[in-house]
Amino acid sequence: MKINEVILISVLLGVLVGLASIYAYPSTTSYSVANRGSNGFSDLLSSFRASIVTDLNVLHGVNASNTTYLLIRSSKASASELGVLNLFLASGGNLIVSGTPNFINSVAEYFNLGVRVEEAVVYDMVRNSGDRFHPIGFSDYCNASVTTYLPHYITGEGFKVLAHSSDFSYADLDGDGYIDLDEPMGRFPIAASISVGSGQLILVSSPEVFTNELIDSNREFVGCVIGGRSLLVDQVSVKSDLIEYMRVLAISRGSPSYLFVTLAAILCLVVYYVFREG
Amino acid sequence: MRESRLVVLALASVLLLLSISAPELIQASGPEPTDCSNLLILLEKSLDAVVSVEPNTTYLLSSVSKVVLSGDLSVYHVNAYKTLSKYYEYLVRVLRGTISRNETQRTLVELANLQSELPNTINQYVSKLSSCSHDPSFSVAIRARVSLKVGKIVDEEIPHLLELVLREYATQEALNIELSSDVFHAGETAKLRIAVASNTTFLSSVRVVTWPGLSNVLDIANVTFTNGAYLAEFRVPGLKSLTGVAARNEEKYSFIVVAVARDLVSGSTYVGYKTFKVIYRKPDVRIDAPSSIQKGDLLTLNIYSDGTYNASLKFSDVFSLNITLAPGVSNYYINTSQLNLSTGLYPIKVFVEPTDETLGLTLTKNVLVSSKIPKVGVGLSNPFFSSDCFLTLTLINGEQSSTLLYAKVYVGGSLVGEYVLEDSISARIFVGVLPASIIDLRVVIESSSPVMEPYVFSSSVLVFNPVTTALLGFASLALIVVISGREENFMFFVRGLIPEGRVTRVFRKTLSEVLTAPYKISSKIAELYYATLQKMRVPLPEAYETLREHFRKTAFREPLRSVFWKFLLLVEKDLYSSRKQSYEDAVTLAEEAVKHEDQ
Repeated sequence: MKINEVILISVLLGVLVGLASIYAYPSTTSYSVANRGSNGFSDLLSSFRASIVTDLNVLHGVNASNTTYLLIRSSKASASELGVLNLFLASGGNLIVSGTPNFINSVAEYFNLGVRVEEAVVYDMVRNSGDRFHPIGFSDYCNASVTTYLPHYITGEGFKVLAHSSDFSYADLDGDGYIDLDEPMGRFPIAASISVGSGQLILVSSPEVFTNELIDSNREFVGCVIGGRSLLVDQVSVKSDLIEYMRVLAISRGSPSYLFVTLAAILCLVVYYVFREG
Repeated sequence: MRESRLVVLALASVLLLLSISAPELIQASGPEPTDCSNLLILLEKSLDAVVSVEPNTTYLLSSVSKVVLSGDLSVYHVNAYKTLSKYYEYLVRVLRGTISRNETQRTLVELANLQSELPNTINQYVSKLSSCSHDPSFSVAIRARVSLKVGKIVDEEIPHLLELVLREYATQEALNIELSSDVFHAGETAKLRIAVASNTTFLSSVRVVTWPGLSNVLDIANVTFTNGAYLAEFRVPGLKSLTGVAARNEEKYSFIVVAVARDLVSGSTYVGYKTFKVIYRKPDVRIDAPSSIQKGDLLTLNIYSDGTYNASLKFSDVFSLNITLAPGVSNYYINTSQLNLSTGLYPIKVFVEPTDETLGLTLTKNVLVSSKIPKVGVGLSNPFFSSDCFLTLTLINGEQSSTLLYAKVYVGGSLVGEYVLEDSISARIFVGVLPASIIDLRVVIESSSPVMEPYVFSSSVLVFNPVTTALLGFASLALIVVISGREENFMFFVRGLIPEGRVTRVFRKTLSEVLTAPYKISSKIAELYYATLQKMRVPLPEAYETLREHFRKTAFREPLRSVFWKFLLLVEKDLYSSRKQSYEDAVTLAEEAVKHEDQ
């Protein structure tokens, strides 16, 4: 075997092992559809037959009036992205916005909603799912409970309260993790709905509502906010993580066979070179 | 070789991918899952709801009681809410009037039990929550408010409920109970009159029970029927009858007279009641004791009492005595020499036992016990003039009795003498032959009595010896006379002692370290230059700088600058040229510089 063939086989084997590892090694990226862990969206994808969106321009081609777009981010959206979302809402789409308060507020400010998500976290010692960091709220609109994780509360005017925390919850204004004498206790809005154009903008202050950990408890509520439309899950942010992006791409093709075909092709190539020598 | 490269490459690929995808394993520690402060607030809200009988109280109590907690806190939490829920259940039933006649007795007992159970359970729970609350000031504030609300329930609400239940249960129209007064003092006799509504109604029993505890304290048997009414007299219950009813050492207790009558015709049973209060007084007992004593002293206590009481006297944990206080002043003596006391503050406590008419009382008086040290007089003059190299120290035993004392004398930490001090002694201590010296003198006086602690006298004494001073003076004078005019011989003598070369080094070193440091100077002109600088108080050149660097650094004014520049050139020539320069020229320049400086 020539030296350049040895190098070629080595590289091919490396790529083979690398690709296999990407698929086999579990994703830990929060809110990623490839993540089968507690903070992933793999169950959301399968439960609601959702499609993955890695490029927002896809929204131009969908039937907005029959689509709900789930947008969860930790950093601010760009102006061009917000422009696309504006068109989507104007065409009658349902947009669910969740993530960090900064992100939700940036969207709310863009649409000039007069609504904001406060930084203070809501805790609940009484109505919770295991501990006070998982308050259970209730949606009168959906007639369903909502299990959350460290939700923030929504303030402002002109919105419909989609879900609120229990009477026993309190807002930790100073961020020390405990209630103080001057901190309010009672119901806090944790999900809100506002009409924008012909569509609905839904703010959910706890993105964990949609994760694998809590989706079983929230199936009724999530189904209600999706409203029987096709669900598109935003995965644009995973583009910054090449390996996660490859995982998401592998899933977005419908089945893992796409990746398997690639792996098999490389393997065949390696075997060909090895046996040709023999 | 090729295969190993292959394996390395493959492994490197795997490691690279693993490192990229590795999950975050380190997580910051956050707040505890249990927020005790929140539980305190929930408890306060629950109490508010219970007191105000809010519509959602049952839901609130039920929801909060289901909070899942770990450890002991869970037990306290469940108990507190169980008790609160039980109380609320009775409260609602009493207010709605849904308690049947058969349940009256049990309800009364349950409410009476709740009166003692509720504060205990809530207090334990609140204490537990306070210990885990994140903010002590927060828990103090909530605790105070909770305590007020529990007090309101126990002191106002429950007695009111009991009264409502009893009123419902009693059939006052059939029995009319009258007492000679509503308030009695302990020891008084109460007159009771019970009128029955019909001639066929006969009194079955009359008893006095505590209120609201409902414990039976007295059965009134001696009842007479006169003029259509039952009459009786009874001595109001004494405090001893409250034993086992958790007497709270309060001055006022409530009781009720419960009368049960039966109609022989209809077979009906009638129950009537009448409440009254008994006031118990506090005994007037006062204790007088000195505020401080010395160890071993006799402690005298004067205790004034307005009556005869059994009491116990306790002096800290070291002494206790059961006593009977008689009216007037009684004296008690405690011999502290027999007690193993250390110095400090000791409480004297007198526990006066309650009688049938008086409450119990605890009196406390603190006594400071200080150490006892021997009284010793030390006679010593400072400075001390000693002509025989001995210092005389006078020690006087100041104890009144013939207490034997032992003295140990130390000079500079060394023991120099031990003495038995019966009355007084004069100790002579050797202090050396030096004309003058300072000695550290320490005298330790110990007693044979175990209650006394050692007395320590310390002093630095200046000791002069005139004899050795005079001798030293004479010897010095003699030496001066002998060596006068023989300095040269002395120097030869010194040179003979010091090896060759060392004298030179010593001499030069004394001349000027600075002068010789940078260069090996063999120039008188340079020395004059340095001397001139020194005279004019100009800092001399440092070891690391040349004369020119020093000149540039020094801010000479004109015309001094020109003079020193010429002087510097002369020095350099003298130092480095083969021909020596004129010393007179140098002197002229030096004088010129000094002259300018003077101007």
